[in-house]
Amino acid sequence: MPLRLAKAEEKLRSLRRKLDDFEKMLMISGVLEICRRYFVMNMFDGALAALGVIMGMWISGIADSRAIVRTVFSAGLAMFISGALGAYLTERAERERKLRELEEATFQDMRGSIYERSSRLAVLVVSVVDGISPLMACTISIIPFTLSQVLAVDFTTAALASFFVSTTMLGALGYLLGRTAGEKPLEYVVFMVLVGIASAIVIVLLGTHI
Amino acid sequence: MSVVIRRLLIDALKPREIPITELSKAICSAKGVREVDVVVTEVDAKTETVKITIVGQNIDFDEVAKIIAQNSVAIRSVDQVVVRRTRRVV
Repeated sequence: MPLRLAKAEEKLRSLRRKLDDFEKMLMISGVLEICRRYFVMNMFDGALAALGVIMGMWISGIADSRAIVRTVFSAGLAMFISGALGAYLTERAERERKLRELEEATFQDMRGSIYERSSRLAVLVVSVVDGISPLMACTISIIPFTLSQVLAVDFTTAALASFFVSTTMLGALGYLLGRTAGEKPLEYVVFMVLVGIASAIVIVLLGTHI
Repeated sequence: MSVVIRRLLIDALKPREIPITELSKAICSAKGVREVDVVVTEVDAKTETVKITIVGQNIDFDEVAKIIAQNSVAIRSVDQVVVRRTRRVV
């Protein structure tokens, strides 16, 4: 029994060390700040794109919840692939350049060092966040349409609920931005919600005249 | 009889992103090290020059050098070494 306990303690210590190492690498790479920026930026993109598709289909008279779910989710997947791959390639190129520059400055091979491992982790984390944020926004936007199929709710109610969900999501992003800026979050919330409403109005007005 | 390293003064170059708190803690975890003192002496655009003073009963230089390299820090020179002859192996 004490042997098992000792082994468990050792495993716990090793896990703690790995977590500490992970936290240290996140700090060194400065990836959290980049991720926060990418997350808000791409989620905003995803939310507005989903809103655009939904409003566009609505004014086109396509009152089919399943079609909307498929279209918006496909758009989200496309944004996931383009976002993740784009961020992976650009971040990797930038990090590689920075690593080479630092190697030249310190006259040292950085392979296997914490700086190199942090750079690799940063590339991975940034591409995941960059890809997943628009997909998340699209998925959240279509929840009312998915539920409408289960609960047998009419299309207009689902569309209105989706619009409400999208603007709420934009408001939440505004709150996050306000907190990041250290300013009044309410101003950011109002601005983001207004952007959502204005986008919907522009889509409806322009869409009906195309 | 054996000769042990009691004190080391290392001149090193580190990327600015590596915090000296983490670096000093990592060095202090090396075998035989009791105290670590890191001072930034020069700041450049990408790098910082640091003076690392390591004090201990029996400092394992190879391990210290390995830890320093793992933390992306380049040793430029060893500027001071204090060694002591001891009767028994510490």
